[in-house]
Amino acid sequence: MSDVTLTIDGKTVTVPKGTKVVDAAKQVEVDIPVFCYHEKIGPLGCCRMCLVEVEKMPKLMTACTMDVAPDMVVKTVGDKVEKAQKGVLEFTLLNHPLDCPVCDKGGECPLQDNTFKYGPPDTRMEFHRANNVKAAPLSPVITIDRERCIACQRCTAYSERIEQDRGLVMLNRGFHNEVNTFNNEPYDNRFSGNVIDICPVGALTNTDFRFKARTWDLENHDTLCANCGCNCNITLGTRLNEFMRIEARPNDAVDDGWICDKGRWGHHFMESKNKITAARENSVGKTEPTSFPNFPINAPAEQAAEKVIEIFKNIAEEHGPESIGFLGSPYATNEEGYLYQKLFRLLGTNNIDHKSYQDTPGLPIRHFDVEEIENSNIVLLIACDPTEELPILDLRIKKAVSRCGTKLLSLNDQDTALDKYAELKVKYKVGSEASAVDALAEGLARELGESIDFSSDLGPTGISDEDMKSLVEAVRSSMKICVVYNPAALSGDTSLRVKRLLSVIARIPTIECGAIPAAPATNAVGAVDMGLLPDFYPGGVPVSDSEKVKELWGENAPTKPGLSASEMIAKAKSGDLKALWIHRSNPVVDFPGGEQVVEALKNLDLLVVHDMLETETTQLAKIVLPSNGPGFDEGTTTNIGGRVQARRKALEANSIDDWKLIQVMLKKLGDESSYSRVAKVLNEISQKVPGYQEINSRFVGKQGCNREQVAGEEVSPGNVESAASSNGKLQLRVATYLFAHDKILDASSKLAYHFKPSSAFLNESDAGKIGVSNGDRVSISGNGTEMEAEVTIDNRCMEGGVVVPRISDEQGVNGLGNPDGSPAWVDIKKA
Amino acid sequence: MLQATFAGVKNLLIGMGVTFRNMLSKPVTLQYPEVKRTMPTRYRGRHFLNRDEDGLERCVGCSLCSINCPVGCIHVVAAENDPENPVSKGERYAEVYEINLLRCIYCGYCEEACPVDAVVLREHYELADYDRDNYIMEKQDLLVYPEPNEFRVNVLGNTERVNK
Repeated sequence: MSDVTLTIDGKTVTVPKGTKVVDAAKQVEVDIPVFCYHEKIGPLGCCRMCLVEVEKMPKLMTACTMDVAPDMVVKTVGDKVEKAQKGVLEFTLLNHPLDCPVCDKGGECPLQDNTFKYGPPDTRMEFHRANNVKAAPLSPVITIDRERCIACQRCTAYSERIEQDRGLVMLNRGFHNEVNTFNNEPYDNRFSGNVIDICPVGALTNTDFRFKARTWDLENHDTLCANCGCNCNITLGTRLNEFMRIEARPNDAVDDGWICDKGRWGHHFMESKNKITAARENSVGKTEPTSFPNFPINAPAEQAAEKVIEIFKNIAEEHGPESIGFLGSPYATNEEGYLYQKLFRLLGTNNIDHKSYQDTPGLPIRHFDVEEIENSNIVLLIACDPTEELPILDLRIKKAVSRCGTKLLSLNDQDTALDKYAELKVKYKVGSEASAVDALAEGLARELGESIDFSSDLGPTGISDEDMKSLVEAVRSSMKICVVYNPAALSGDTSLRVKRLLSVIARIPTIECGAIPAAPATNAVGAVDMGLLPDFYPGGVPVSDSEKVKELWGENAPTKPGLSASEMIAKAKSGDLKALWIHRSNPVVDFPGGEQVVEALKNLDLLVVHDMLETETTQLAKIVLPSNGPGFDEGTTTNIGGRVQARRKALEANSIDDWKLIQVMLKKLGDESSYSRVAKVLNEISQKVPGYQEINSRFVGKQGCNREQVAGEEVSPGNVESAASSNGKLQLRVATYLFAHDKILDASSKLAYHFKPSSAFLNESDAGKIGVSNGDRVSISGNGTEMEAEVTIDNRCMEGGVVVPRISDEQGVNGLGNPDGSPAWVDIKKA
Repeated sequence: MLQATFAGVKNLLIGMGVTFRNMLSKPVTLQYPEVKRTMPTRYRGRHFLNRDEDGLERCVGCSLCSINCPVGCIHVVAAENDPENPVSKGERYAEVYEINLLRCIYCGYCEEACPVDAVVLREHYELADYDRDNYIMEKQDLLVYPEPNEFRVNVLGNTERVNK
């Protein structure tokens, strides 16, 4: 794009064509006051605050709607402009109540600031100010004060252009003009909270934060949201070590300045009454071989941990290192993951995992940053539902489609909210993702004339030949493609097949390609990078590469592939695994298998759970250690785009930090490294983890930085097993629901109004076969577990499948799944 | 010599003159604690929180006093008013209002910053105590006056006593 040079207040500035004058002025530090304009939302020209004088133009112009032009001369000071600014402010303030001492925006209010800087000293208004509704709830978490609203329309523009939902609109005309929703429905989509941040007055306020503290009393901590893999930047405000509120902290490379409602109001788990505050021994399970004659009751966690790790060592010595295992957390920081894998590899085991699905480190093509979605001309979603899994990715895709000319392709087994933006939507049958992905790869390879060593069958997928053909054509003809896939939603070894597909795409000439592995867990990418895997060391170094492993990790580093999470659970059941350590994970609810997982965990000699909240798993544990969790911990996390960012401490915890606790245990095992600060752990990561060489605490800074691509060994997937005959059963797809009633959003959560009852989405023909209609209660059974749900018939998936959103922990939908992660069959009967 | 004697007597009389004059004038000392001094109206002594005509608290918990306080001796935690049963006029009130009188330098900035004339420094100067804890003035201490609340804020923004 060509550049334009113009003069603003005598200062010359060169900006790209299409820039608005108000943005150009920012570059030369000329301040033009605005209310309605927001750089992410675009021009509105509604508040008239930004009037400037432009040479050769007869009247004052609004700087926010005017594009720069060559040799333009703009004046933002002078009698004419000042008179206009004073007039606009006097008019804006006519009916604005003077309740700044009461208003939550007071202290960070653009109206206050602009009035102070540009406003008239007095008003000529002689009458009473108009009264209006003071505190009306727009939703259970947003309160609107209609008196304070200056009708700048920033919020409604946001609703229309960014979240593209038109949740908020301007109703009525003239004096009765007001921000509201149609039919007074609550304004409750996934991104509603952002209007609080952008409101330039105190009209839209956070109900949760209402009158809790003045803005200047807050201590603001720049940290990260811990609720999904987007790792949006947030400012966490605290007062006297108490959590107060969360605001978005714009970072274009990650969140584009927005956060979702779960990020804003879903952090009350930090002060949950279910928080684990001290180490304790549960008197459950088998106690004989590893009982603690003198478990340090009421002792600090580090003393307990020292004792426990010693017992782990004893078990490893007695039964061999294969008899112990570690289940890490995709929610913990990189430092915690790194230290934990170090600890357990020091004990001689590779039984380390953090997930119930299959995934390998590294990608055969570039790992795209989230920002690249805007520059790609094709985005291909595979089994991905960003609206529920990674909400900010959803906003990014909407932005790319509506403003950047990106085309969205979707290959999924269920309908998603993003489908209406898709250029092409290809739906396969539930459970047939392996064939669908292979078919796309084969089609592309055919087009390229490459020879491949696998074949695919479109039959079980239910995709028509034309659909697959047009999908292949769309991918092949793209110039820059970004593949977004969710490994957690892919059954069996399909994520390996996706990688094979990616390497086929990489072979297309004239195409720039990249991928984003979009697993929903907070630090899923980081956990894989940090080697919380049975067959890979940190940085994607395979355990089979003994030379490199020995070079990086010493002579005694184990080089035998360990057990994956599902294998560990199977071995625990058979009694081969004696002791398991679980860090911030709840396999009883989150892993497929349900009761079988419970049985397996009960069968262990020693189960240690290091977690922040009480879960179903901590109930089974022999030893429970406290973890502080987001808000209290510090370290780095890697988001879905491979960006490493710092999560900073916002609150002081009573118990020891997780990384310090692991360090205590490492020392106990004779490890000599000592870390005085968490940054020292990051230093070691940058030395030892390929891909993280450039990462250090200074470089990560406030905005974060991208790690280098982590190399990965290509693991070739097996053949697609022909599906067993259905026998009237249906294939189960567990969908994600953002506001699930789990440990993070508990019953006291501000977002509890989003909780949904358990429902099953059936196809018309299947519903006819089973004999159920909309609203019927059905029981779903499979894998020895049974659950109830309400039927919704809406063709969300194709015939032969059922979509069950995971709406709560009690629902137990994961219990229906097969422990090995293969597609599950379920029986549906009318209850 | 005679001259020197004159000068001596004259100076003596001048000196005694001052003494005699003061003997007849009103004494500046008071028989404290039997007699208490009346302080000027703008004297900055102990803090109080005002109530309005309806008996509601004036304070809306805006924390401007606390942010203006040069020594940081005021702590305010606000809360939302129950519209049925309001504590103050307006939407918020101070749930916690504490002043540390030991730390306070009695500069009166809080009084000046207060947008609703709630906090005032009055003429009460008897602040001695044996226990440091008693110097943390909480809301119930600040809202209780030694005499019936007969104060109003005049046009100058000063709190003055209503003489009946």
